[in-house]
Amino acid sequence: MKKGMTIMTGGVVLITVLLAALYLYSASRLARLTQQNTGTHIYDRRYAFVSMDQSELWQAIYDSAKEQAELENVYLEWIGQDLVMNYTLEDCMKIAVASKADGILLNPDKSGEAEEMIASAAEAGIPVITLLDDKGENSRISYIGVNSYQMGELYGKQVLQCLKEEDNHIVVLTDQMTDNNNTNLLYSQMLQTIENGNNRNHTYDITLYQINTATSFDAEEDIRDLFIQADPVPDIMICLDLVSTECAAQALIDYNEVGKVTVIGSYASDTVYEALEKGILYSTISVDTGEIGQLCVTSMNEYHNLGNVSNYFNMRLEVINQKNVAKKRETEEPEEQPGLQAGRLIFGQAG
Amino acid sequence: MNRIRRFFRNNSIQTKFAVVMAMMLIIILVVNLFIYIQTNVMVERIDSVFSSNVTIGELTETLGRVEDTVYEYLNTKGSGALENYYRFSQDYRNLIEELNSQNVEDRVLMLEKSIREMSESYLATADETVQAKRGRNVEKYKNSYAQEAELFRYINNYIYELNSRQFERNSENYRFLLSSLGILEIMALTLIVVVFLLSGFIGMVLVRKMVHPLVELSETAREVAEGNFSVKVPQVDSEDEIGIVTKTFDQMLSSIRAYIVRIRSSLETEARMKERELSMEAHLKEAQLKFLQAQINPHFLFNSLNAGSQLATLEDADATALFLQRMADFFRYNVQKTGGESSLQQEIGLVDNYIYILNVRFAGDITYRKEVPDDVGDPDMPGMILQPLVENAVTHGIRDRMDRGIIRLQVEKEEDGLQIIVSDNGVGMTREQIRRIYEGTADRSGEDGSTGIGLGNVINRLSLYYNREDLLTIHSEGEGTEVILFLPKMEKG
Repeated sequence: MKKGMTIMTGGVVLITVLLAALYLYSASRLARLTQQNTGTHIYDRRYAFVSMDQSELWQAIYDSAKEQAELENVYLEWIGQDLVMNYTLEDCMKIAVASKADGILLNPDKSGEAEEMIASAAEAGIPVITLLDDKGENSRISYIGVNSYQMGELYGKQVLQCLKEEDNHIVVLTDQMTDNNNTNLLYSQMLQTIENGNNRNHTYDITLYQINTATSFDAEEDIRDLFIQADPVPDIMICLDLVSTECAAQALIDYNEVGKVTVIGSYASDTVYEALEKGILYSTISVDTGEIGQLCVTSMNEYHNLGNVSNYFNMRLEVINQKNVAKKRETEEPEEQPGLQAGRLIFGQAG
Repeated sequence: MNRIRRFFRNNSIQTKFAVVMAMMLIIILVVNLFIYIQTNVMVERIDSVFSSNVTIGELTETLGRVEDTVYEYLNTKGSGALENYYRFSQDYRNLIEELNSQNVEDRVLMLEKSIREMSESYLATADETVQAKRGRNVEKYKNSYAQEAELFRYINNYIYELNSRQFERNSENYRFLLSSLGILEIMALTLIVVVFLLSGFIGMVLVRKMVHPLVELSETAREVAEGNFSVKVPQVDSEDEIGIVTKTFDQMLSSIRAYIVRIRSSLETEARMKERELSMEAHLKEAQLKFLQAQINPHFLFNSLNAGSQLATLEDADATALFLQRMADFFRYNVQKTGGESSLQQEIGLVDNYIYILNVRFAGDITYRKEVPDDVGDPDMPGMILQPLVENAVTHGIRDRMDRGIIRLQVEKEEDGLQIIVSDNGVGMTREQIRRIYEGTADRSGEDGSTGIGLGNVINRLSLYYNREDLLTIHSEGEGTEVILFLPKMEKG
């Protein structure tokens, strides 16, 4: 009788445990599903990140900004990045305005519509901060980027280090769509620096070579044309964006010009780092993308909180070459997030 | 625990069965209900997984209607189109009210928020367009319509995006729920198996508990059927039907045992009585045989004496006639009462006749003293008891000293009967003679001058008649013998 009662009690307990387990399992699964379908965290604001350039550079800036936004309880959305449709900058700006974002972090493209869009956003009461390229000075609340004067000076210094005894043919690859004012300022400062620093009276000539970055694949074709058609092949080549830098590095290998042509790239991707390590590229000039990302979110919040913000944030420039590239990669890699590659804006100088 | 024990002890089988079955059914019902509810919740959730896509479809459809009616109104300025526009725009407003409006950590919900915000902008622009059209401000409504169409395109793209993501998420949810349902089914199956096993076990334990006493009882009954009435009935403390049957069986067995004891006792008594009857009959037969042997002489004597008595009367010899008459009476009594029942007075009368006859024979030498009080009555007693005692006193006591011989007959009334003492002053009896008389081996019936009935025969007939052994005692110390006879008071009827 006692054994029987023990077994029966055990059975009832087992049933109760199974019922509880069944209920808890079911409830937990449904709760998990509900949690998956409803965001638990509510943000104070929503900022729109607008950039047609989705290269590693801008991905890194966005990631940094996103990280900072999380810290400051802001939802950051890269308009158009994860959508199936391809939008223009104008579309993205219109969407940002129509969806009533609390602020827009804008990488203006080379088109002239950026200024108009910035003005429209300002008219709708949405503050805009421009990044790395200053557009719509009257409408935007702030600009975070580099100083063209400083950049030109750094280019000049890099060129001076690379000048040979004989005649030096220097080619600057410029974008057809680039803002002429900034390019002119950069160019003139670079010339000034070379002239002032050319103590050994090397002879050189500098040519502006325009490449088309408005459409896909054109930049690569233009650079290859330079190697095929130019006579003579330039001694120093300065690339002003990542695409032209990577194309130039690849072209040097393809046309067996490594060591003959000194290339200064413009972006710091893994390809660029590798090229620097192997001596294919001479040097690069970069800014801290993490700092840009953090600063843009902080500045926008400051504007919302205080009603105003500094009109201009100048970012520190940094030269990376074969000597310090390994150290640079070491310091960067731990900070990198899985699946993301660090991008650096590099302004180069051929030697 | 005690309550359960009490329940199983105090209730009938029907109640126990009903309660246990009800409990098992309730457990099964609750478990099944629980499983049904949980599974149903899960299935309903699965059913509703793609409902969000349906809602998104409605959103697209309504947005398309709004856009169509705006276009139609701009084209025709028809009141029907305007009415439809207001209706559909209101529908659309209602639909977007359901969309998320907060900045939350979820891409899908943020898409909803963007759609909601853009839709509000779109509806505002659409209103402006319609108002401009009504005000015939051509340039404004054309510009406004262009903006609106652009927003329409953006919203549609966002809805498409939302739909795709929602579908992707719903598909994940669907797979997630399906896998959950699978595990739920396994758990439910396990639960059902456990409930089944437990129910089976409870049923088995219950049946065993109830049937076990019955099995023991049937085993006991089988032993009883084989004649073993001393078997011990199993102890049952329950008050159900089996408990009652077991206890009743125990009582019945006790009754049977007691009945058997009574029957056995009764049979033994009956056997003893039969034995006594047979013994009495044997003694009677013996007495009768002896009398039959002597019957010829008494009858012949009896008739002859009667003839002699009549002759003496004719001849006026009265003394002779009296003597012969007494002789005839003596022998008549002898013939009639030997072995049968008589009375005290008749026995005393017989003794009187016997003493008269002896005195005639021995010329009046025997002194006979009779002390019989009047209040002794005339109780029944076996016949031919006193005469043999007197005869014994004469024969063995005073035979050789007739002239001085004294025979005394005393009757005394006792509380529980009568005491009759026959004493003489003769030579007395030895202890050996007395012992042999008690043992019945000193019977001298048939000796010369005897009536043929010995003291042993008298003792046996007395014990058979009164069913007692100690009715006759003989005292003899040197000279004289005293025979004390006790006649117990007999209940009439």
